[in-house]
Amino acid sequence: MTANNPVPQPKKQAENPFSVLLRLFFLLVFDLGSGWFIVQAVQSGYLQLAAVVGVVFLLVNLVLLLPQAYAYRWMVTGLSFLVLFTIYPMLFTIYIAFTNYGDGHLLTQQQALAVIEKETYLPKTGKSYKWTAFKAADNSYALWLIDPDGNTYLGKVGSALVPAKPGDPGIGQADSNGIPTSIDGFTRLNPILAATDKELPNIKFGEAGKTIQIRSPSEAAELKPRYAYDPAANTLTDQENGEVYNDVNGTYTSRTSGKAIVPGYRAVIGFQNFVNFVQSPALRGPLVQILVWNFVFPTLSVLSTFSLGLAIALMFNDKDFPLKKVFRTLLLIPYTIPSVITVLIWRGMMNPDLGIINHLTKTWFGFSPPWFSEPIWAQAGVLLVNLWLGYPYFMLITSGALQSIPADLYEAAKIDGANSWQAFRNITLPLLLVAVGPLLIASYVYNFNNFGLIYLFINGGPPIVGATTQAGHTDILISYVYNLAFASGGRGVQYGLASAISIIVFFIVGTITLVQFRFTNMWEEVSKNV
Amino acid sequence: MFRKLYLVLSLLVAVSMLLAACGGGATATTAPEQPAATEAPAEAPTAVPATEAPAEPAATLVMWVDATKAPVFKQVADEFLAKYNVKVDIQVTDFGQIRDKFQTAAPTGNGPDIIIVPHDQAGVLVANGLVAPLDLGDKKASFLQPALDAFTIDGKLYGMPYAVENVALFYNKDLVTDLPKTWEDLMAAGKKLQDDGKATYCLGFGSPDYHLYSLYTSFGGYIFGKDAQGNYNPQDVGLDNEGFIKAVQFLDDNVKNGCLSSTIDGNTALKLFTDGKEPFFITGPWDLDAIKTAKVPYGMSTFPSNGAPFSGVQGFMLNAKSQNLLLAQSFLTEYIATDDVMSQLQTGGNRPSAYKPVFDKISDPDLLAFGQAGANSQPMPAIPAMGAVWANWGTAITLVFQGKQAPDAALQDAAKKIRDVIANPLTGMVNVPGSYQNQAGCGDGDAGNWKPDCAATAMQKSDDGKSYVSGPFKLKAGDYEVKVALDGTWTTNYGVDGKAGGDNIKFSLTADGEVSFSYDPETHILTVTIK
Repeated sequence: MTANNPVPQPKKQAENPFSVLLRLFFLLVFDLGSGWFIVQAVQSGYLQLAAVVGVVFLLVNLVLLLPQAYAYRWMVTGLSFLVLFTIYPMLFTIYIAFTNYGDGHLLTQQQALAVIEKETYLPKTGKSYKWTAFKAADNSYALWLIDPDGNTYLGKVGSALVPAKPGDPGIGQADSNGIPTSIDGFTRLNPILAATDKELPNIKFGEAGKTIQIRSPSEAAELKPRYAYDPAANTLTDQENGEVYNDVNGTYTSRTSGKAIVPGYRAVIGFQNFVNFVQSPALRGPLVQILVWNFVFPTLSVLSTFSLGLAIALMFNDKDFPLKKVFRTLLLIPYTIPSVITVLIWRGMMNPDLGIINHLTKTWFGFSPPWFSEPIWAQAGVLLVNLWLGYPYFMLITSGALQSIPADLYEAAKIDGANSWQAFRNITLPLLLVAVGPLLIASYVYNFNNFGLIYLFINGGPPIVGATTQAGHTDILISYVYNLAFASGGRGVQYGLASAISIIVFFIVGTITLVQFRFTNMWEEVSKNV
Repeated sequence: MFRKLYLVLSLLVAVSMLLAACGGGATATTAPEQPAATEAPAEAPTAVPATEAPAEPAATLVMWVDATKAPVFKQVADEFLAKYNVKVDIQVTDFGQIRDKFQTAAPTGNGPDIIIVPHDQAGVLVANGLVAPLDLGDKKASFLQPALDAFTIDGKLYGMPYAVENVALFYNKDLVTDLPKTWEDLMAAGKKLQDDGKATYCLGFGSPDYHLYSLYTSFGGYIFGKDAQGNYNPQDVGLDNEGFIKAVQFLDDNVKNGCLSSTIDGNTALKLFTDGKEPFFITGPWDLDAIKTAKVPYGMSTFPSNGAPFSGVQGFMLNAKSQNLLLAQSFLTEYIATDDVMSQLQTGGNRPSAYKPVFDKISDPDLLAFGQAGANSQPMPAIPAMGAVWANWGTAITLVFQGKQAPDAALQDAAKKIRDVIANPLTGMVNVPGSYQNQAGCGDGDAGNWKPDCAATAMQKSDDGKSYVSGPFKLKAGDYEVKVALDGTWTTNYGVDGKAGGDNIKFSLTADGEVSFSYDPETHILTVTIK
């Protein structure tokens, strides 16, 4: 018995060779798939996406091949999805916030230049012709051209146009349109058949410097490219009048006339979107009013849904409640119907002319609530619908949490002479809040950005009188911003601005959440009780 | 520590949901991962000569159309394939979604060759560089000129129209015997029926903006004025002019006396009309089938007081990135712009054709009536600012109907908001852009020069208020050129001798020195003072 006695090592379980093979096989499939994806992404110019998939690729391979990373094997799927669907979109959004991406600046610079360089013009001395294509056996073409004065020419690649008439040597007789039916060595093509060759519009007929290209089914002309691009200076020059267009934030703009070339391209414009938002009338507008409602709405929503859900759960917690299962199932139904449908149904039921709710209130109380025109009723309506949508969730959660409260606590309380309210106040509620506290905060944050409900139910209305921008009494920050950036902002879709604002909203939401976590010390309590 | 990490992580997840809501559109465009269409497709079709392998189509055209029109095109596509060995792939897409989907697909080179869209979406597609101009050749004369105008942007034709739609005045023949000549007559007739208990409302309509545009125009209102060339002029907003205010006052009076409903919508109005409880109903081709099925005895008429409705034109547009532009144009002009196809499109669509040979032969009384009601129609403006117009116009009317604001105040608010959107934020700025600006804090190198929107060189009103001044700027020795530009853009600019759009103003410094500028807004002359 010396010190040499080895400490018994935990025996490493030998892996089943079959499972190793299976794992390597799946890894191979994954590697091939993601490798192909990366190649495609790089070819299409989506470098950021390729990089992100590359990171995931490395991560998965490391974890599955390194024995030290064995423990992470069960997390790698989740982490990959986190990177792909959460972190990458966030980084992408941040990037977009610093660009002018949106209507008018949808294409990349390369794509926009390709569109611009396709533009052609007809020089003052240039002529345009009607064309008919003839094709030779070696796939070369000849064009029969008729100018506006009725003169006819034969055009081939590389040599000047030859005046020609039907009936000339080698040229067949004219048909009813004055076009020869045949040319020796060539077959006449119908315009549509000719157009099936994609290369035809790119072929330059006639002598160099005065080449003719087919522009449309009816016209071939001595076209010249309209704009010349200078990559060094990043400028475009109009070949027709010499005007120079400089790059201004993704739009080629002339210094002298102020004209801009369409389309612009997606360019990085620094903090311009943030500056625009800060300077826009949106901020001078009803922002404070909207912010106040944005805090009131989730607060009341969480309170009302939680109270109702808890009340129902308590009711069902009573052992003697008849038909408990049936009712519980029925009450869960609102939770199972997609909220998009529910909201629209409520909208219909609250219609002031035809809705069932307003019909009933009119019959019973002689009053039809103006859900969609009076601010206070509209806000009540939104809260009511959200209550219907939200209570089953809290009913479910609290039902579960109530089961976990030990029955002996109640017994002890009973012995001490507590009535049921005291038991609820001092036992049920505190213990319950520990369990569902984080969920309350999650629900708060969710409702803070509950765009779907506000937008579908009432689209932010009714409008605020005298607001400097389009805004309504039920607008929350996110629906207000949506209107500014996409709908009534009036400059088309502005992804850049929208991204910038959503980053600002993130900081607002983030701050609130942090403060709430600190304030309630929710995590500490949870960990104490676990 | 771990707890903090977890906190951050949960925040990340929370915000990603938020970002997904806003950034969704942006990220979606990166989704289709196809190789750039520049290299690969060039080879494939040429390798297969059309004559030798009839089994393989010589080319393929992809077309996005909505479900109601797809059968018409499928038939044409079969003929085209049989005759020219060109496959036309008809892909059914919801009409309202075509533009959005096209905007996502087209930049990647994967979009269709041909799409159908309403003309008011054409402006954005052109601004985004996604559609190509087209040439209808001899067929151009066969289309209604207003329909062609609707698709003409900056003097270039971008679409081949096929249908025109506008609203018309429907009336119930059981309730109405004499057609009203004026809007006052219409409301009076309706009020009488209402008092007799025969009608719920005098007049039904979908929304008080688009559907009632003819009423505003009868009173002299308009949205945008027109410039000398007949194009809409976004600087001339007519939403708060006298006629518009009168029209809204008229509407409000009729809401107050119960003749009109302030909360009515298209479905409610349609139901009331088909139930025979509404003598008049303003609607478009989309409700025609429902009205026919309901067997209500309806008639159609032009608008009282010569009111002019908005018109919308539907047409074909070509993908700028299409490899088959020539073929697609040939297909449209030779195969779609024919009496047969155009009349089938008209029958299926309930809308008068934009193709003259078909339009001239309309015998269907409903289509004829739509055509007559739209004879004086004005095309819906296609400028991006329409988003702001619709929103603020509707808001103003809601506020008036609810009694929150008087018509004039509500419309002035709305017009101001629209002008704010259209006007550029730098309106009123007077600037001296030039080759000196990179030394005055406008940026580095060439990029810092010739910037009409640079705040660092913006001019201030002089103390006596008669001129604008800027500077002094410390400049190095050298030759400089400048101009005067207004409103932060080049749209209005002045050069030598105060000439609009004139030559650059030149000055030189023999040694480093200070330069200040003074501009006279009356004569537009810029004075350069060198120290």
